[in-house]
Amino acid sequence: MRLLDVTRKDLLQSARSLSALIFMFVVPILVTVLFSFMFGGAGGGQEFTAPRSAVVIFDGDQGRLSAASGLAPAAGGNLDFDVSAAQSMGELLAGLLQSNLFADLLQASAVASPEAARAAVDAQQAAVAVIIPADFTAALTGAGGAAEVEVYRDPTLTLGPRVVESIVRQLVEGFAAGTIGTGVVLAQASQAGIAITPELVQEVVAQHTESAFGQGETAPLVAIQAPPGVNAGPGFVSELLGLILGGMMAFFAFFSGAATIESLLVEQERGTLQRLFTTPTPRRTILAGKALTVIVTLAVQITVLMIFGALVFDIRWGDPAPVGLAGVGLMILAAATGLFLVSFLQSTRQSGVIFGGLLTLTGMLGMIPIFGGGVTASPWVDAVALLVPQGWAIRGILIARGGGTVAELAPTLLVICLWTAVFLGIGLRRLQRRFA
Amino acid sequence: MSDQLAIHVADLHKDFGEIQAVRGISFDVGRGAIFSLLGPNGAGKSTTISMLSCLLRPTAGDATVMGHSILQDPAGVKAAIGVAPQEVAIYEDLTARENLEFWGKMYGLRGHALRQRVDEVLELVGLTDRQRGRVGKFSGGMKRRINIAVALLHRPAVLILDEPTVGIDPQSRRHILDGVLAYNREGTTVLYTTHYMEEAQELSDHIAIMDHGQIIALGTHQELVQIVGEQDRIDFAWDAAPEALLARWRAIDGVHQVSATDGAVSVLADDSNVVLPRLFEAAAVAGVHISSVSIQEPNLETVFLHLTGRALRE
Repeated sequence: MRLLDVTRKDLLQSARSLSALIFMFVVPILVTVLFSFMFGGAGGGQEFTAPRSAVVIFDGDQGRLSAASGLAPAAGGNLDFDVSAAQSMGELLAGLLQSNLFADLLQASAVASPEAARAAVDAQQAAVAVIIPADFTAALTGAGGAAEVEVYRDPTLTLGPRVVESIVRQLVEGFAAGTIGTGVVLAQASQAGIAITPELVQEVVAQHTESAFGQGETAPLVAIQAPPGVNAGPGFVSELLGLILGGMMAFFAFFSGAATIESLLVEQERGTLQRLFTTPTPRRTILAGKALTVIVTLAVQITVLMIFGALVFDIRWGDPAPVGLAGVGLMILAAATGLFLVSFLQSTRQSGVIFGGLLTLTGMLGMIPIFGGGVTASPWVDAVALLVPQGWAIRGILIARGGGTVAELAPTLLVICLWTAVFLGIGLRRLQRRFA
Repeated sequence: MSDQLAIHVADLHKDFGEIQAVRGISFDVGRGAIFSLLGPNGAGKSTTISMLSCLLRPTAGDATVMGHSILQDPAGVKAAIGVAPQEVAIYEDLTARENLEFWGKMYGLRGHALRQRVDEVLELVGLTDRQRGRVGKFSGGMKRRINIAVALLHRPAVLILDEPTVGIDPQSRRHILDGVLAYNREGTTVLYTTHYMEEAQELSDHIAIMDHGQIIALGTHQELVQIVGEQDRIDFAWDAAPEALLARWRAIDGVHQVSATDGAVSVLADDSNVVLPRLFEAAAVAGVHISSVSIQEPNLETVFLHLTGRALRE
């Protein structure tokens, strides 16, 4: 009961601290709002008006679909690219990228060679070069090979290349899904005693491609628009804002965790902690009450920011179970990190330097996957983020947001629990030694 | 050990590394008494209070409060004491009432009993009409009163007040001193630390004079004053007393002690009527003009000067 009294008192103090409230809620939201204005809207229903990225495409695909690919013409839709005319998967990819489907985002043009494509990026004439390999169709139709589409990007840019990467990834994954489906169909045909001929393979591929990219005149290309991150409309803005708010939430949660547990130092300097220790309330209860304050504070902060993001920016955080677990992971790790840091500090004067410097630095490192990463980012760069606790917390949020299951989240949560256990162990031991 | 003792201190030591903050002090405080620890800053008073409040563990020795050992039964000690620390230790962003309710809960009070006691204590310290005000907006004196009110919430058997009147206005000071006497009349034992001789003199049944971590004198006011016998204290206001003159004064018959502090020189002498003319004579010979002099009856300040050669406020 007294534990809850300590927590209630601390929460009341936090609620009356304008600076704490600003730091916990206003700043993360403000940063996200600023980004939303940069993108030309506030999510949920407004058009994305970011500048288009210049993209150069080299289609080196040597493969050929059968003469009658079977792709249904999409003349009845809005697409200005004749899908049925594509002779290869490379041509299909290049055509889609240059079509009016992505005209709001990309200004795509074809070049004659991979070297020319890379040179255009090096000369900053294009933000991204998409280089389609010679065996692209062969790899997708199961004829052999493991093709990789190269996305060569201007390293000084983040948003534009990321948009292109996201689009290419979604398209290629769509193609690959067709390949898997094709494999299944062909395996079943083989078991049924049907002879597998090149014509049959092409036919099956064509059917899958049609189902993915050509739904006929009534609903052309609906499938492309569904995945978040590919849609050029409001869903795309929400996707980006979700990334940013998720990052901001994690970044500032670590500050909140440290700042809340810093109340130990504040109370020590003001003499109220020593006075608490002269009351019959056990020291363990007082310290536990303060730890609970951190947990409650972070839970409120994370919940409020997520609800705010969902309501105002139309952010889809993912399935409740993994998102909830990722949120809990963030909460316990931020609390443990705060406890760990404060256990090394003697005064609030030190905490200003530590929180301002160390948490800012590690927080920025942890946010690398959000602002600097992507499908083509160096794995070394991404690995740097995982050197700091914020990186793991953000990784958990990204997995949950990306539709990851609890099982997919589990390894990250395990690492988060390990960080938490180490930080808690050291922090509590040091604080007990100091105050016991 | 007598059941009549509220506090029993036996050879208490506290070292901080090489520094011996408290060096083997012993004293007893009877139940219902007011006992003062008097001494200059750094004498070891607050360290002693911290040990008796179970905040600091003694390096050696032990003490009991209402029969509970500070080493063996700190929970018992904490339940028996109410501590008002030297620095105001309350939450400035909470109201007076919120502060008292929170601290009351820390002492185990709940519900109606808590609310009733908070009302009573607010009345005691004269802040009922300010109970909804944030403490941060209070004057220094009002904060001090809330600081003491917190210590009274659970009706402690022993009230420990560590320099409760430092830095406050005379009106609040008077209020606090009257309050201490009132709590004591209700049967509360009071352990009071101060470096104001007048407060110790006014309040205390017994006084321990501390210096450099030791008790250098202990007794009632009368007993302590008798230490200096019939000596008078002669104070001169002086910005810079020449050392040569002070040496001459020390050589005068009947002069026991001459000590110079900032802006004043104090002389302890057997009979001021005999010694004073000689002091003036020596000053005249040295060519020094004396502008202000006062003669005081022996008091605790005189005792401290007599025992240490220094003024209490040095």
